[in-house]
Amino acid sequence: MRTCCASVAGPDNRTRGVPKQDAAMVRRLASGLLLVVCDGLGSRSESANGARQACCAVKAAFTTSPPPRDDALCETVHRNWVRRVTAESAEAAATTCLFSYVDAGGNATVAQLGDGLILCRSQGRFTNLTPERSGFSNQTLALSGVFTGGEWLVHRCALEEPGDGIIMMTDGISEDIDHRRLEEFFEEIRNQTFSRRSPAMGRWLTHQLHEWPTPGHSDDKSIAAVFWENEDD
Amino acid sequence: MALKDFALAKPKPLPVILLADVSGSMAEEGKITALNAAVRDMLETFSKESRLRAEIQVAIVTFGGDARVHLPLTPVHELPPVGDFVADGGTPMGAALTLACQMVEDKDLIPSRSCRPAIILVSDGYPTDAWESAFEDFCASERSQKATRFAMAIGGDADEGMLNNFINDKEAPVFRAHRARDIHRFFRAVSMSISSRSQRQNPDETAPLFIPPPPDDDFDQDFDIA
Repeated sequence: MRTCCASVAGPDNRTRGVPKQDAAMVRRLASGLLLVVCDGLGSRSESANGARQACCAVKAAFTTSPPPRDDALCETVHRNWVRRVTAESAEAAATTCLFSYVDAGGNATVAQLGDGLILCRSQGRFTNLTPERSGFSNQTLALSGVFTGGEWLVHRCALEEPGDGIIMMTDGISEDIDHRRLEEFFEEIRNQTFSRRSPAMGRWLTHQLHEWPTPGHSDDKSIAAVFWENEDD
Repeated sequence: MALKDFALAKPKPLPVILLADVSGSMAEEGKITALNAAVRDMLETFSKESRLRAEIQVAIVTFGGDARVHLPLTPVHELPPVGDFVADGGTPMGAALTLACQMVEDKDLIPSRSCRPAIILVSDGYPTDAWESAFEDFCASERSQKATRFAMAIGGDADEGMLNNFINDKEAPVFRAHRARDIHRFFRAVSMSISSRSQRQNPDETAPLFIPPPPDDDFDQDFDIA
């Protein structure tokens, strides 16, 4: 499996000299590969820490053996996260949380709480796994003090064919992409990932996010992706 | 190819929908004249905004005799000349709410990347159609209920109970316009609030509604005085 990941502060946070409230993680675990992207709510005072701790909370959930499944998995992530940020600070640390875990056989578990976008190509077929939002910009579900299982979206898919993969991104990117071209976007990230070594791909991706062209864009931007490798790559 | 090739070239829209009562009673005491002038001022104010953070888009629905789209949702820097309202007929507010609801629920017209819309309702009388079910649908609909809603009661005959139920921002209670110049004050306050939102780092945060003080002159006649 080939991966890429980048997370950059948006123009607002850069101008104000404050840390980004997004966090992203790609980790090779003993039994598989884990990707997480989180977007701490800008209006909350401890959301930067909340987003980082959410990445750690997901990782902790997958380092138990065997990892919990479905609702129990999301509940474990929530419990781990509350323990890390403390119950008293959970509201101030609210964050979205998107993660994917792919085992060595290509079996993927994908979960999403809140804004952002998850794109998937499974068995050669491209799918946008994120339903269209019912509200407007900056109205999102998030990890907070109370666990509500029904708010999480959980999918399972198989990465089997060369070029299959998963891309996850925070809304700093997903809100500004032309949604009529999501499959092309997926293919571009995949092609770039296969054409570069991992450190160079990280630099390319970071540069692309820093050069984001949408007028008025202000959010932090994070993206993580995994692709099933071509046999001849 | 670079990722920027997939990025949208427009800032987030900030939709503003005006529901304007143009029923026959608005022809009295200069109300429709004041409303026309105030709306022109508001559109001019919006058109000067920079589009740095968000792009203000305006739609106008009028209700007088029938409810109709006077101005489809249009970016303010692309506004065509907007004709004056003509006061006539009854007050089909329910039909106007239905039109507004259809606009807000239309995800092609107002995409989910939009900032929370602002809906402004101004009226000088009681609705004359079966507005209750339209209002219930409006309040229950998935997206309309999330919009920021302002209201102005013009004169003493407006249905303030209905307008109070319409608003949903504690910092912006129903404004009572007793004189023509009050209509200007309300629209100036709404314009400033929305313009302020469009300049903010987060245009979705509510901006307080500061009603400017009335001018010193006292020649403007009360709507409520015969």
